[in-house]
Order: sequence, then structure tokens, then C-alpha cells
Amino acid sequence: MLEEIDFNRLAKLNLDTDDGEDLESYGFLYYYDRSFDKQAVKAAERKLNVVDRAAYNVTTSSDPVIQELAEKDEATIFATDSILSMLMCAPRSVYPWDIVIVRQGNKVFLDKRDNATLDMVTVNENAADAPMDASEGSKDAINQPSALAEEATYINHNFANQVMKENENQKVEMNNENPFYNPTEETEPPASKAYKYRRFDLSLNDEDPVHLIVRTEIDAVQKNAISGEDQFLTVKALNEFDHKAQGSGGALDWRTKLTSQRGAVVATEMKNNSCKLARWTVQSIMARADVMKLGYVSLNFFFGCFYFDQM
Amino acid sequence: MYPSTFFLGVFILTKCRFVSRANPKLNDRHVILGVVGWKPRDFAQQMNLSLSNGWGIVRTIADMCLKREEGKYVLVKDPNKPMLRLYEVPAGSFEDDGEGEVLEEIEEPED
Repeated sequence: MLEEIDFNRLAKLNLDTDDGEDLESYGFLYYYDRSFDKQAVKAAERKLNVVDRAAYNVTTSSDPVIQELAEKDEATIFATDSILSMLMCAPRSVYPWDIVIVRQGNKVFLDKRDNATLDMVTVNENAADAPMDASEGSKDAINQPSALAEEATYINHNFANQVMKENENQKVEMNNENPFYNPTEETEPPASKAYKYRRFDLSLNDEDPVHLIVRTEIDAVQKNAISGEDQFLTVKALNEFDHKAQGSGGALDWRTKLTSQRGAVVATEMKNNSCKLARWTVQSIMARADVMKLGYVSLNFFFGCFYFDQM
Repeated sequence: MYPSTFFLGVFILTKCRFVSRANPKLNDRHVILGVVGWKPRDFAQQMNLSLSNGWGIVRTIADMCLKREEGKYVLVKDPNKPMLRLYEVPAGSFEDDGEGEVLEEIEEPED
């Protein structure tokens, strides 16, 4: 082991930067379906569908665009938004994770391993009494962190794909095509996604310039209701955790409280899912998204009855 | 309800509940209750989230690696403590999907 840093020390660090500059953009975006913005009422509940679209999460040093930018000496530090947000929000993390750092020449690549834990969407990681690992075969196995993360990751993926209007005549193309999508190999169409490679100045003084390039992601566009201009969106989903189970962190019943106590529902989520929400927010800000859409996903009524009644 | 049917009912319901969440391919288990849009900067403020703190962490960790030799490192969040640890690992670690394996991949039979 080389160094040890505790979170108290991390929380004191500070470095001001600007909003970053756009270098390259790849992929395309569909328009967001605004009908999902309507108030949560029983009649308006919509089933979460399985929408298989080709999605990519290539690590930094395997990204062909980053490789090219590194070759041209465009920056010192390279990363993806997901890896960078984990590092930036480290003091809020409770569950373990790791980042592989490759020091090559005068450059630093922040990488992740395959199936890295930082790719998973955690559930109630920051709750005072967070979900715990259950013993093998126990009925609580579905509420343990790994099972919850698998469910949440799956929900996030499908939710983002479902709220798009997949109209080929109405999509916003970036300057370049999706760098990871190969139509001859893929069986599924590509997901709505724009990859924006953006540069931030992390220099402490003029003599020693240090820049960072990050691959950020935008999920969709929508027209600004007043100006009619295109706005960039990131789209994420929060999933309801059984409010009676261990690890629920005092969460409210969304079905009855989402309309009447929306602020309280969000405040509880900010507390119980501080790390997850902070990462999404950091990613949205780095990408210069205008709006971050947060979907509320619950168990459907049929399964919900079984689910809650039997606890 | 007779006790026996009651217990049978509980068993079936419990089983059903388990399957409904344990099998992610069952696609009618989740519903979308609503969507709320936030300005990311406003949301950050409400969460007391400081971007400059994040950038400070990034620069500090990058400097730690820049002052060392070329090579591969891994930064690990301790599973139990609020702490990060930096280790040096041999070059070639974690490269089960890296470059340099392209040739092997081509030769692999399709499944």
C-alpha cells in the first residue's frame, strides 16, 4: 500500500474550475416524451417496459476518441463521467468500489474494471440503517445490496429508453456517429445517447497547466417550453424500496405521498441515496445538461399488494 | 379462512413476491409513477454538493500518481471505513478485456 486518505481529509479539498469546453460530440438524441411529466395519479401509472437498446460503457483507455485525444496531448488526465463522478463523490460513498489508475508517460488514465461496482446503481446506500447482506437462501436475499443494485441498474436502463420518442425524423444528430456502435455486429438499435468529450482546466498556476478530458453523456433533448430551443437532458430513475423493510431509511410510500408531499419524498431520497444522486448530479453538470429528469419507479399494484402485505 | 389454506396462501404469495423481483425478465412488475425535472445546479445546491470539492479530490489523486513511477495503480474504497487506499499493482493486472488481446478474440469460436 502506498497511501491512505480518510474522508475527512478528502472533504476539505477544493479546486475551482470553469464550466469546461466542448471538444467533440458523438451519437444522436431522441426527444423526451413530455407526457411522462404529468402528475402521478393512479390512472396515469405506466408499466415499465423492457426496451433493449445497445448501450455502451467503455472504460477510458479503451475509448477510441480518448485514445486519439491522448495521442494529440490534449490533456493530462482522462476519464469517463461515471468513473470521475465516483471519485468526486467519494466522501459520500459507503459501499466499496475501486478505480484503476494507469500512469503512462506524463498522462493519467482513470479506468474501471469489467463489471465494476461503480457501474451499478445502489439503493439506500446512505440510509442510517442501510440494506444488509442476507444469509444464503434467506427470504431477505432480494433486499440485500447486490440484488437491489441489480434491480435498480436494470430499471434505470429501461426507464431511460422508454421515455424517448423514437422518431427517426425527429432526432438530433451530433457531429460524429456513435463511436462504439457497430451495425453489422449489433442486433439491437442504438440507444438515444450523445457522448460529449469535454475539457476542464485543473491548473493551480500558469507555469504548470493540468487539463482533464472526460467523456460525458446526454440522454435526450426537449424543446424549451418558452424559447423553443433544444435543451439537453440526463434521464435517471429512482426506484421505491419497500418502506417497511430493513434498510428503508424512513422512506415514504410514494404512491400516496408523491403528489401531496413531493418535497419530502425528494428530501428523503437525498438523504438515503446521497451518493447515487450526487454522482448523477455531478455527471449532469459536467455534461452541461440543462435538466436532470428523475423518474419515480415503483412496484406495480398487483405485485405491490403481494409485496407489501406479506412483510 | 382455515389455517391450512391461510398458510398455503402465504406460501404462494411469498413465493410469487420473491419471483417477481428475483427475475428481472418479468416485465410487468414496475410502474412509472411520475417524472420530475431539475436544474442540475439547483439540485446540487439542495444536496449541499460542491463541485470544487470534487475537482480538488481529482487533482489530489492525479498528483499522487503523477509523482510516482509510470505503471498501474488501484484506488480502493475500504469496505468498512470512510477511507481510500492507493496500491501499486503489476502492469497487466485486470486486463481480461484490454487491448493486446484483439488477436485472441478473433480466433475464438463464435457461440
